[in-house]
Amino acid sequence: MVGYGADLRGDDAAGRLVAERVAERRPGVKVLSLHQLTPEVAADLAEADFAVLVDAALADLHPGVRVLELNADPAAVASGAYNAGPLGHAEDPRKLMALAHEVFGRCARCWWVTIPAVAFELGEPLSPVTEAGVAEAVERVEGLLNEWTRCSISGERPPCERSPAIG
Amino acid sequence: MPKTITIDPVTRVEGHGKVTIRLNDDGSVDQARFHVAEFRGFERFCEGRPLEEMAGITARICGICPVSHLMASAKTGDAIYAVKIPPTGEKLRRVMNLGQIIQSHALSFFHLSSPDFVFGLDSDPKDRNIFGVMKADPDLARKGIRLRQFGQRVIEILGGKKIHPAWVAPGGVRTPLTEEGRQEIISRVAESKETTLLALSIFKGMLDQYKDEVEVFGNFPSLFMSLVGEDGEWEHYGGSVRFVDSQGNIVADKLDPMNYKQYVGEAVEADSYLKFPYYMPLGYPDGIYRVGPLARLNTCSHIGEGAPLAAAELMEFRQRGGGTVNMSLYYHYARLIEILAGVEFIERYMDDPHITDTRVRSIAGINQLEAVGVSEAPRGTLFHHYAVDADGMITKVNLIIATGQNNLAINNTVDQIAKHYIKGPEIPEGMLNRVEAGVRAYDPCLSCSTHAAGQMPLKVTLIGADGSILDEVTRG
Repeated sequence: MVGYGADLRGDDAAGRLVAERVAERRPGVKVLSLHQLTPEVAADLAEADFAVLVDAALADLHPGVRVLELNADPAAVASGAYNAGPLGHAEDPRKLMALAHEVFGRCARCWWVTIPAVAFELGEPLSPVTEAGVAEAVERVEGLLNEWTRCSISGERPPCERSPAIG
Repeated sequence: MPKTITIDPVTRVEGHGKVTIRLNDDGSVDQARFHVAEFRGFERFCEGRPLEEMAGITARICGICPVSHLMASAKTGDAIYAVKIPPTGEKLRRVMNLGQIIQSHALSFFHLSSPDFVFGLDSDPKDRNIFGVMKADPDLARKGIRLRQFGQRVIEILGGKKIHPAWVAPGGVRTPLTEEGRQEIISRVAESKETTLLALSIFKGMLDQYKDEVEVFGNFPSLFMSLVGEDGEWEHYGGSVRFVDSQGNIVADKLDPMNYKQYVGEAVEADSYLKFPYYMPLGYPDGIYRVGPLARLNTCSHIGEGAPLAAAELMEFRQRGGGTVNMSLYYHYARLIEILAGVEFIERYMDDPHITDTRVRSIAGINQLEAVGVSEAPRGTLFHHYAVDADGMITKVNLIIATGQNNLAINNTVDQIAKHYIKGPEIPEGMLNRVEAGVRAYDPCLSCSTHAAGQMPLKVTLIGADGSILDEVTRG
């Protein structure tokens, strides 16, 4: 699980707070808490079977917590479509997925959880909407992990969220 | 009629910056400038917090070089405590700082800058990126990622999983290095050394193809500043401050960082939130100086014992660059040599029989009310200056960051490139690529000001004196 964002920039810390709470609850899960996505995360995605990436998203564009399976469309990657994200982090997760495929030959199935965020000034408190989003996101991530674990044991392909994949 | 070309923002530079190029009536360049359009405001944010928290908080400013802030902050705390840290504590801090230099330089070279050299500056930006490099040389791309991962892993082994470890604290470090950690670091040294030597070989082979760019991408006289060791050797953590001029003459030596205000001035310009530091005895802007890998290799007399491969590379670097190297494109070359030095010194520290000693921190209280801490960040010298009250609560903070100290040099570089490539009212094909590449040579990091900013296309706008838009190009 990868939670990322600038944790002194108000709501931008949402993904990292989810990461910390999941790490406390699920000691068996590899959890990364990062300021921003950087290329070596591709190596982690290549080693894993299943990954959840959690980030803040502008509430104006995405007012609720979203859980989406990610696809890295090679043509879109090649065209530079993922070179800049709406929060200005260093890398888009889909670019890292493509990097994992290209460099390491494989990549985890990835889900992207976004939390609505409204305030990005220097400081640590979250806005109420993001605080609620973090709590919901923790539960959604737990749900994904539980489902993945259950399917791994039973041999089923994890359906996880019934939402359209994006790429 | 004067015109303005705006490049906003500079792509593949952490954080947000933009370049504005003002044209004269005849289309020649009047002046080009690099702006930072974001207010950091971080110093004030720190006021009122306990000194003990400062290392951890300042490290959280930046996702790219948190360790650098940890080091400078902890050293400031050492001085406020008036404490001498245990030798193993200092060695472990040095190992972590070297890990930081390796990972940051590897990101800069392999991920951000190598596409420029692999594909050429006139290639389509859609191809000139890390994915293009992967297709052209997947093995090199894989090795580059693993090299950065090595630096990150060194930091993690020492400080824990998080990228902002508060492991470095005033008085030393919080926990010792385990034998298991030492063995893991040792196990990856050979591969890291091999990758760096390969990258150096490739880069040196490419230099001849870029003779024109080397001449005009920030090739100008300036001072250089960095820390150096007691004997003038390459330094990244301790030592004192040295300035040399463009000929390599020592202008000032053995300067105490505590007295930085006697030799570093900070000018302010209306169009940029980033300050413009300068060498005070020469005034502003004549006191322009550069910091970072190129500066460190110019100011040091040699690379000390323990890094023979890097020392040999330094000699060749100086032969190729004509002694003191004024060409900013050589920043990339200098980064690779510093990665090599970092790997070699880490290997040396891992062989130290005391590196796993458990006495790593000295405990003390507030003994001074004001202090300055300095270390070499990947991008250059980093000053932290704190004042505290008797209870150790922060009353004042001033940070002089490396990218700020290169601000004048980046401006000069953009100006030089623009004046060389723009000869008329049209924007020449490939000029933007060159401006970007010129700025990237310094690997400016504005990650400290990164936050929500919406989409970030590359926009070039020609604006007439009457404010009308004459032309506009958007990339991305």
